[in-house]
Amino acid sequence: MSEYGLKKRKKVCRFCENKISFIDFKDERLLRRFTTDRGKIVPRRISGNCARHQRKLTTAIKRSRHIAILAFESESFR
Amino acid sequence: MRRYETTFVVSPQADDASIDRQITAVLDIIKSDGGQILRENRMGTRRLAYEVAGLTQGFYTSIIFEAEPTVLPRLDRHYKLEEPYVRFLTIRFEGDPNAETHGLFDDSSERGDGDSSYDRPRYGGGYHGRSRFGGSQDSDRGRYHGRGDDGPTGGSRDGR
Repeated sequence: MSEYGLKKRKKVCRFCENKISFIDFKDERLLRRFTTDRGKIVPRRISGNCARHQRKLTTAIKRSRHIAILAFESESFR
Repeated sequence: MRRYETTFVVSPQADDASIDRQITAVLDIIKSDGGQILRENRMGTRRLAYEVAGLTQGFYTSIIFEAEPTVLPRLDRHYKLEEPYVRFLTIRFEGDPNAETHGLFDDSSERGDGDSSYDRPRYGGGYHGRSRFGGSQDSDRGRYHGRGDDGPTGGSRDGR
C-alpha cells in the first residue's frame, strides 16, 4: 500500500518565486544551500527547484568548484 | 559588443602593488580594441575550497565588461601564460552588472532551520525515515532508487 501519494509537496522553485534569472557562481552562500555536507549537488526533488533553475544552479555550482569557491568533495564526519 | 564577466584568482601573499599590476594587466587587455569596463570587483582574500598551486588562500577579482569577442582568446592566453593567475574563468554575462550578490533566502527555509547543510533526507522509508534497503547512512544505495513498491516508478525490488 503506497503512502507515497500523501507525500506530494507543493514546493515552488525559490528562484522562480523571487524572479531570479541569473545565478552567480561567486555567491558561495547561496550555492552552499544547494549542496550537501559532502559537497554534492542537491537533487531537484529535494531542493524543489524547477528544471530550468536547477540546470542553471548546477552550472553555477560547477563553475564555482572550478574557481575553488566550492569544493568538489568534502569530507563528512562519520 | 557583448557582455562578459571574467573572474580570476591570484596569490594573496603578493603585495598590493603586484596585485594591482596583475589586475591592471587584465584591464588593459580588455581595453585594447575598445573594450569597456562596466564593473571591477575586487573581492578580496578568501579561503580556497581546495589547495591550488600550493596555496590555501586566494585573492579574487571579477570584472564585468563589454567587448568584442576577439579579446577573449587574448585574455585566456594572458591568464595561461602569466604566472600569478592560478584560476580564471570568463563567461558571457547575462545578469545585471550592478546587482549585489543574493544572500537571499535568509527567510527560514522549508527545512526549518535555514541551515545550509542538507542533512541526509531519510525519505527512503516513507514517513519514518529509515533507509529502507539497508546500507548505512553514508551509502547511496538505500536512497534514491530501489524503493520497491513505493518508489515513484514502482521499480524492481533489487534496488536498481
